[in-house]
Amino acid sequence: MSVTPNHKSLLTLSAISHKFDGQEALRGIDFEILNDDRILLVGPNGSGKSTLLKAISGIITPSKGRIFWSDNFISAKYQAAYFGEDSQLYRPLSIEENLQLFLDVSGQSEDLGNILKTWDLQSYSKTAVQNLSRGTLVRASLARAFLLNRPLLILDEPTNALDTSGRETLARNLDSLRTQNRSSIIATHDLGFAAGFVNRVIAIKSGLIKRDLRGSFEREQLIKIYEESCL
Amino acid sequence: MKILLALLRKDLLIEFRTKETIFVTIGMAILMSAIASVGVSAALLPPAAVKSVLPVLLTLSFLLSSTISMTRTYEYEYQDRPLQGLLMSGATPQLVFVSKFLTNFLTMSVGTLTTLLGFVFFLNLSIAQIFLPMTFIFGLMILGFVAIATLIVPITFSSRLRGVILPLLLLPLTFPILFGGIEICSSLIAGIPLDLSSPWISLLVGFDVLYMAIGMNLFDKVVIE
Repeated sequence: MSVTPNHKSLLTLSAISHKFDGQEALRGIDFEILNDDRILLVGPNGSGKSTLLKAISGIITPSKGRIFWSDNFISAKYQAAYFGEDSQLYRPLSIEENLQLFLDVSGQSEDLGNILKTWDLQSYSKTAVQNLSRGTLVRASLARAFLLNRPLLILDEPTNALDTSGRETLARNLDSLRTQNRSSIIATHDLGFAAGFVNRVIAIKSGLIKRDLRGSFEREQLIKIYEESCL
Repeated sequence: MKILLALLRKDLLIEFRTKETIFVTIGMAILMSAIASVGVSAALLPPAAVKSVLPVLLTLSFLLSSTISMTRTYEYEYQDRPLQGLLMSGATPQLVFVSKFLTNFLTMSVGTLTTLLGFVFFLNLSIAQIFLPMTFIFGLMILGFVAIATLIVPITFSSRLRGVILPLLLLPLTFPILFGGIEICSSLIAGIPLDLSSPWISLLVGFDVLYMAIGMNLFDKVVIE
């Protein structure tokens, strides 16, 4: 797929580098995210995927480089919705109370019942987060990330701990992003899950971008890209 | 305002569910007043002398119980990092600070009131005439203490020695507030009526305003990253 004038730039990463305890996790990353990008970020463990996603989401500030959001062309924090290793939910509160809190804080008025139904969480809505199974907790955390109406959704290993039904629910919700004019960037080793949904693949290794391809991808193609770029 | 109410509801709901801070505060208050009363009885102090050491005992008790319970107030903000999620959803650090401050003020006030009543009960004191002005002074002390503690507690979360570091940071900063409070309460016990234009009141109000302003303005540096 070629980039046409209809594709607007959402954000630009310029020479992003980041160090953890003297070790370089990212080494001069440059790329642009467009308003209809559905990006798959692949790379081996420790390649810098999570660090890159945290930098884009604003959770960490890169040691070097800037992130420019197209709306204002200033370096801004917290412009994206993010799902990562931490659920970002309050353990003593129920799923319902947590999601309502995030709706209230973000100033959104979506129907909570609908959100719970979408993520198949109705039967656990009154359960405290600390009493949830890992799979249900992941679904609740995904619901929190998806409800935030932001132009970019960042998902770091979203299929971990999800059963078949959870993966189907996630796939349905990811599909709905296309109609909502929201971009997404997913880091996952579950290439079969990402195939058919993503329209761009970025392969990263040792903090450097090895490949950046656009198009539609089957599972076998994604495996080949991963093997050629990351092994 | 809607965001602040949502944050406040969350903080109070967590406190209501876990009851951790309030249990620690009230438990410590009862224990401290009981232990102090045993010590005072053993020293065979006359009632007037017992009354005169009340502000110091009360302040020490407040300091100990508040410092211990304050360490719990951010416990659920850092487990699974929901605070990060709130900031990413549009909550400003200032609103998070105000909500935490109000919740802490409420729990510390309940704790201090329990301590005061505990001392009155265990030491068999009669302080009915100065109860209200004393409560007012302790209210001012709690205001400043909680404002600076609400700012400092998250800083200590990144340290393995947070239980040790918190009193080390908090005590020097809250010393003027505690000292001013003790001075005013001692005057009240000595029968001197509360004078709102006294320099000690100005000191307390000044530090309250200063610590609130510092807390509101520096909280973003503390909680972001």
